[in-house]
Amino acid sequence: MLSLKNISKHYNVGGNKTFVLNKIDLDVDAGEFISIMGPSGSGKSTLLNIIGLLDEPSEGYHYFLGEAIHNLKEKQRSALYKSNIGFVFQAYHLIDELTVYENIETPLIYQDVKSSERKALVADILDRFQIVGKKDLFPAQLSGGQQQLVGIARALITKPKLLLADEPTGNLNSKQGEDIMELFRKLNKEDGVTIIQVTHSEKNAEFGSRIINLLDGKIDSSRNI
Amino acid sequence: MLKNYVKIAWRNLIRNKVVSIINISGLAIGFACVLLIGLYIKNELSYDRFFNDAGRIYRVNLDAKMGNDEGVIGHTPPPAGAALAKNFPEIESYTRILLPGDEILHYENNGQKKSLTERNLLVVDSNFLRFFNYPLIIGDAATCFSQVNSLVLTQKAAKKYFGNESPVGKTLVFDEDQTPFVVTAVLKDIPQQSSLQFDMLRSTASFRPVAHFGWSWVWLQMGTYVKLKPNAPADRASIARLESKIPAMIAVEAASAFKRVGQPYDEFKRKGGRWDLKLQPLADVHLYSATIGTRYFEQGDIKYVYIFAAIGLFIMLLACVNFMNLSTAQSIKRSREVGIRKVLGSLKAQLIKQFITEAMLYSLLALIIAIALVILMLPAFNQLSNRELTALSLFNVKYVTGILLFAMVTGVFAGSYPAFFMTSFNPVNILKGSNLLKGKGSGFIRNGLVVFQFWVSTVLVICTIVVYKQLIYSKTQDLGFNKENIVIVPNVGRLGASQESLRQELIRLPQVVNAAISTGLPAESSFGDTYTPETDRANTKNAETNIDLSSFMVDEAFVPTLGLKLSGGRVFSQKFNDSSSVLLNETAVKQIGWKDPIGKTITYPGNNYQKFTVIGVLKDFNTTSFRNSIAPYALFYTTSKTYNIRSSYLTVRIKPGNYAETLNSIQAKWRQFAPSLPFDYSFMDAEFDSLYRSDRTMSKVLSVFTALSVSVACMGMLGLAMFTAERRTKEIGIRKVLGASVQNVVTMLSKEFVRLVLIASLLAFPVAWYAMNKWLQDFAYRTGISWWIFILASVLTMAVTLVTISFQSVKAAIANPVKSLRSE
Repeated sequence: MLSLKNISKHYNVGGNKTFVLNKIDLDVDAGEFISIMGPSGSGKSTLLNIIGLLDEPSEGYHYFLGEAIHNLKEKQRSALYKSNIGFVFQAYHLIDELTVYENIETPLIYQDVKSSERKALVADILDRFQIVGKKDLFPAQLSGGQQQLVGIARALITKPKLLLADEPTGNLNSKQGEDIMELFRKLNKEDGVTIIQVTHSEKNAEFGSRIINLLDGKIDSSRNI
Repeated sequence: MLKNYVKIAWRNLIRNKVVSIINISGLAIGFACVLLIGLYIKNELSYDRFFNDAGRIYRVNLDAKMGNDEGVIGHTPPPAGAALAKNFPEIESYTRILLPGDEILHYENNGQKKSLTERNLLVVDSNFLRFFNYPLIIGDAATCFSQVNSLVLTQKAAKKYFGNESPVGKTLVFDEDQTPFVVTAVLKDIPQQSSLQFDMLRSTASFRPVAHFGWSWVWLQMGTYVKLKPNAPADRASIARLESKIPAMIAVEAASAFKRVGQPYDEFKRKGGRWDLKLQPLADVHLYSATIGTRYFEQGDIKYVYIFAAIGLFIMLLACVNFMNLSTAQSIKRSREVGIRKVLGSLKAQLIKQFITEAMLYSLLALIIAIALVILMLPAFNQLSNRELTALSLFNVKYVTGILLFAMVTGVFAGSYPAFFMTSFNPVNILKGSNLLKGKGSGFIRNGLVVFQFWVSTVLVICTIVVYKQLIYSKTQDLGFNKENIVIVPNVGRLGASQESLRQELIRLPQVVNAAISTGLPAESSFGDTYTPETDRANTKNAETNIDLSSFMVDEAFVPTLGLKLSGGRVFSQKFNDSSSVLLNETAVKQIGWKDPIGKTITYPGNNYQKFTVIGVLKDFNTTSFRNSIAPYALFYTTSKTYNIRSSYLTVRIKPGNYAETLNSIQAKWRQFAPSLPFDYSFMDAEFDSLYRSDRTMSKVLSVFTALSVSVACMGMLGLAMFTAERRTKEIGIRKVLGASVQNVVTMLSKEFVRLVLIASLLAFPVAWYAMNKWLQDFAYRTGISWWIFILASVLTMAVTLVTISFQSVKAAIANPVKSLRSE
């Protein structure tokens, strides 16, 4: 599904190149559930952003669903991204001015999905996540766990093939975190969604099928569970 | 998608009330100014366009050079119209007008004999109402002047004389010749958008001077209008071709008339004279006549249309700048939303569209408020600008679409900078929460925008101060005589021989200091003609052969009553026979070039070479507005009877205080001597004030727009203060932890703005100086542009700025630093 070849990301600081990512090679197959771990500054989030097309590598080759991303124009990348990738954040990043319903609906609007269809899709996912009762509330009126649930629902509404999560449980207590991880496992097993998450927690990492350890911008180890 | 945009825009608007209010009210003020100025300009441009044949009507102007006098005037000799119509087949018809001045009318209303002074009488050719289709309420345009002694009144005049009674068939008697006139028709009141303004019409056939001077090509009391045939080409080139044939026509038509006044046309031409007729489109008369002299009507000036259009645009620009600054100031709050939307799959173009939609929504809201504001402010604006504008004229399809389009374009314009600014953020950085607003480039633009706002404001403030200063100067500067406490009573000549007795009676009143009778007065009227001064043997080089003198015929009390000052010789006195004496002002003496004027003579060719001996020289005095330099003036003694004019004034110098009682006693005396004549009066200082009416109007309108632009700029400043406070929250927090006091922080934050205002002031000085210097050139006597005006303007804007930003700065400075630092 996804292949990174020789991916590097560096910044120029005072004339010296500082590598955030240094010649990463990574292949991900459809249906995998990968946890990326590593100490702060090891390049986890940068790697995830590059995979999610939010950031561009300084050099290297990037293939996603058979497309050579490094050769695509912004519009094509965006189109590919919109229909295939969902993002979940540590800080949820819901739009404060929109209700739960509207937050979940927004990605569909950007995909030009018709209004009636949007209604059906959103209703469906609200139902599945058991948050129908909360649909008219604003993010500020929800607990952290509930907000993250909305965040995940929003990421999944476009039925992405790849779900990327940047420390999705970082702001949650352990019970809420565990629920989210269970949900991820279910999505991965039952719906076949490929998931890549960045996490600090060994325990959460264990939910996945492979753990990749980053150190100083390089893959230190990779083990299947 | 649009719904989503509108929704989020609306919720943002509700959530950030303060910013939204500033934003929308700024735009609303901008729109209101543009709409008001638009109405004003539309009104200015609509003059004289309501006639059916407006496009075919031309005013005939005289382009003349005779001796030293040269210029274009809106008056013509009486035969000009007929000559044009006879010689040029493309001219269909012509009509003529004449403004006779004040007339006293006697009439009966409800069985009571009454009399009134009519100031708005116009003498017109009998085809006038067919030529100009002013709408009639009663009567027929074709026949209303078929009887010679007929009058046509406007509704206003009909009401003034006859109340609610039907005026048709009623009689009004002109005091001048005791002739009764019958009202035959009633006109709708003349719209303000007519350059001709009148309340009463009588025909030229009934007005003796027109017939008397019917032959003359040098009697310039009439106005002439011509109408082209419907199929005649009316483009500039065709009109210019027509005009080029006129001199040849005049050489033929005017030959006998020129001969009759003793100067054959050929000789006149040889001496460098010019006597040419030009056609000016009627639609241009109101706005494009600044250099065309007329005694008839107040004319507008296209210059003011341009000035106000520029001010309107500038205020709108200021409001847009506000919107940009406030929106970017909001960007920290909005950036997260932008980041999330990008992550959720929004294209940059879609986000730009979203922000522009939002700006358009704000702009439409502002427009609605602005329209309400305009409707509320219009009466006050009308009073200020001396116009009769109605907001109703905005509500037609063309204007509504235009205004909506303008609001949309404004939205796009104002929204584009914030849209591009915000959507250029990298979503990864936004969501990581890094400080987005460190970029120097955008700060430069924002500061530049603020400098621009204060530049405009400071320029306007300086202009306002200078205009006011000139007005005060005009009011207080010494005119060469004392204009305070002088009552002017016109038409005293109608009393005939008893006027002198009235004057004597008035002087005996305890409240009256002195009284004089004259044919003319400063700020009122004068007589002008050409005189030949005696050559000075000692100084022949500088002596001119002829001099144009304005003059009054006065009695011996005139000089002391007005308080004119003598610089040499003596004034008129009953002890001498002064019927061949003249007083000149210093300007006249200087122009003639006499070293020792007393005892020299001037000759008046107009009255059988009457000779006058100079008995005294007066210090210069102003008789008109300060726009004009002092003209050479002469005072003749009343017994000289050197010319015969209708105007006559009784000038009464009164003691200050208790004006009502004084006026009452003067009126009582008047009634005694002239029971059938109306008592009219005015104060001379008020008459002088009225010379500056258009300047005062302009200064008032200017100051209103200046205040608006300053307040809009301050709103922008407030926005920038909010932005800065937000951007520097962390810095302020750290500084406070390190021991900075509230005062330190406020000073630090204010310093930046003070710098911007200073830069704006420095940039404003040369522009304002240039503009005002140019404006003041119109005045022969003008105030200086002192350095303190610039300082005052900067201090004013600076003070307003500091007050505006202090609230925000203090708020930022007293915030708890722990809070701002924890959020990192």
